[in-house]
Amino acid sequence: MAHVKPYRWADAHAGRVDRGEVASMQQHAECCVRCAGERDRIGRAIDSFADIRATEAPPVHWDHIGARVYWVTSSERRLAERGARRGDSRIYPRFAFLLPALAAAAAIALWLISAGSSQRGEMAGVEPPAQHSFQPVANQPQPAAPPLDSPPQLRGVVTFLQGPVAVDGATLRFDQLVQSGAHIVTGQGRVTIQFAEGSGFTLQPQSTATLHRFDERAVEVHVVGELIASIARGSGQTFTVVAGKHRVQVLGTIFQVRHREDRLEVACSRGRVAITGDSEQINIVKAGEVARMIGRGISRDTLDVGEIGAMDRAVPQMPTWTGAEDLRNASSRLDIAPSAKQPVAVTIDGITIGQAPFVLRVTPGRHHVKAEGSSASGVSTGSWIEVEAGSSVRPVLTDSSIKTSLARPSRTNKMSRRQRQIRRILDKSPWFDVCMWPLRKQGIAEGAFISLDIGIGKRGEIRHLNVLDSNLPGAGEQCIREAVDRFEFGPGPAATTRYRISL
Amino acid sequence: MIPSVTRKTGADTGERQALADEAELIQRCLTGDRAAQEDFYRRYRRIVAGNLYRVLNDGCDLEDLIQEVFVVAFRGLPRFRGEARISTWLYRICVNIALGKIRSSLRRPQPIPMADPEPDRDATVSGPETPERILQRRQDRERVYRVLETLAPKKRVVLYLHEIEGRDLKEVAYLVGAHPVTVRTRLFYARKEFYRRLAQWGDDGTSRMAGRSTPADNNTPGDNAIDKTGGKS
Repeated sequence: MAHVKPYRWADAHAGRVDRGEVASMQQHAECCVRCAGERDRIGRAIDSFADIRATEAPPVHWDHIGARVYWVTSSERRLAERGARRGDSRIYPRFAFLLPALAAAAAIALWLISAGSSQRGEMAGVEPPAQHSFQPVANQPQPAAPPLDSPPQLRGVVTFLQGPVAVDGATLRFDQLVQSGAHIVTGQGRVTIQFAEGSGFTLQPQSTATLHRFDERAVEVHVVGELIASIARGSGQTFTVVAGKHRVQVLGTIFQVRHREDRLEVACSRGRVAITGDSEQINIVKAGEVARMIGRGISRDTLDVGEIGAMDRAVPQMPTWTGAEDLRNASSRLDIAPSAKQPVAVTIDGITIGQAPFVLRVTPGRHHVKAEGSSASGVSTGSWIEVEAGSSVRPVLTDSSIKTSLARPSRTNKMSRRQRQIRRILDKSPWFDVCMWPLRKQGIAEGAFISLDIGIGKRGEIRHLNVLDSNLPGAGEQCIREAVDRFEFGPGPAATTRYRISL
Repeated sequence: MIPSVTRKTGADTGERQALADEAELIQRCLTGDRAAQEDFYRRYRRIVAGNLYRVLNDGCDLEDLIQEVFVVAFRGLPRFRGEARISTWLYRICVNIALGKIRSSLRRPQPIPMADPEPDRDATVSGPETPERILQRRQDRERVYRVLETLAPKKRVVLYLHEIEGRDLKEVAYLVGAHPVTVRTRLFYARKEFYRRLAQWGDDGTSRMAGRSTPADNNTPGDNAIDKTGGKS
């Protein structure tokens, strides 16, 4: 009997072969080692199809993907609207595919004309003008060719502005883009400038900074005063702070530079920084360390969890970078101004931003704003606000509430049960320990906590996930957010609950 | 015209309600409602991720691919005619994106395979499963994907959808955007090739006859073999 075709074993497995034929196939396999082996292999493979169907995708950064999708679609919509307003510009995309063809046709026509003219010249016995095509015409200005390897220039977006800040002698506007060569003076104000995904710096009060170099390959900031930088890893861009005769260079880190006269203090909360001076010596400052230099002397100390947390918070959460123009147009402006005369400290999405008034750039969506005043003013209130893309929101802080905020739904028994269920699921999670492990390793886990506000929809989907309060470093917070995003809460009534993780 | 895939005339109340919900969600998305778009993303993101991951068996560029699927979906929502459920329509986009990914990865040099960085999901399976059995199942699954990777992209996708996902010819035709007869032909050759290579793939994870085709492989259905249907189902 002939060998059994492999796909017939699959058919037999699926019940598409009649019994008699299956019996004869099995009979053949009993005395044929090759067919028996093939039958077993195919049978096992078909059994594994069920495993493949049940395979879940590995955890991904849902929030990042969602934000990116939103940026792309909203930018396209905005461009389309702009094009529609212009009217005739709509013709361009419709016939854009013709442009390369037209360019090629023009090039061929030019070549034919020049070839034809030279041929005619030779035929008439006229010498073609020697070197004509290679010599620039005298007295005709030639455009200066850009250097071949000059990287594209960056433009920085203001993501936080508090108090008056000047750039190049004029008042810095929140919507202004900062370019190479800009000279920033803070006075009593404070400003954060973002220039890449996860990369930006905050210039503290009474400080000046000059963007000496500001391109995609390198950023060099000359600073007098205090600057806190948060630089993302893996961008391939070098970030250098020049403070007097010292250069502080990094690739990916959060660090702080304080430079007043001959005193320099460099603190690093994540990654490593290298300090070079006029001598050949290189001083490395590791995460959790602070180096103080007076003249040629250097002393080192360690940072406590409070100092590390304060540094992380000094550069407010930066929106997803989609290019300077896009980010400026698609993000929203949150204008916090208290109505009371007393100073009010404002926390947004769990991150203490500082004393109001200030302006903060946020991604569109739901944000938690909390205001805490001194005991005399009695202001202590927190609430949610919904921010539209490209809008400007100015919640008014009063003694009892934040206007333009969203009302919370009244609590019911069903909702209470749902909240208990959510907390039980979170209690059992091993992921939080995974997030805390790096902190334990650094010895800064004691006293660390994070307080979350989680909104779950009817289908069990996470509607919002905001940090109300935390003293964790930024990476720890991000890890916890991602861990919560992995949970499947199952269907039930929509509910919002607060959850605190302490160590 | 491509037939309706999942919508049935005798749909029960729950399904009708789900369809009405979907239609309303699409309408809200089309008006530019940010909350509706977020709801759309949250509702279908895990389905999209699962589809892409299972078709490609590759978690490397998964985030980029998910993003691409949703961007294409939001762009194409005004053209969505409701001839299938949204999940089916999204699956169609996933299939197209996966096909593009397979084609582009064929043009690039393949990276050196590294140890699997993701946790072994089978390790958490409760019950009487022995470690040997878990390992065997994992190897079988890997072997299926290895053999799938040797097929041409179109054959690979069609075979995956029909044999592994268990979708019928009409559904597969809708998902890959081809005529059912084309799909049937493609599937016929894909099945022959897939099971032949699977049968030749040794238990040690190597192909015993990699790249070789024997005269018997090229036989017409019915020649010198037990074959009455020609491999078509």
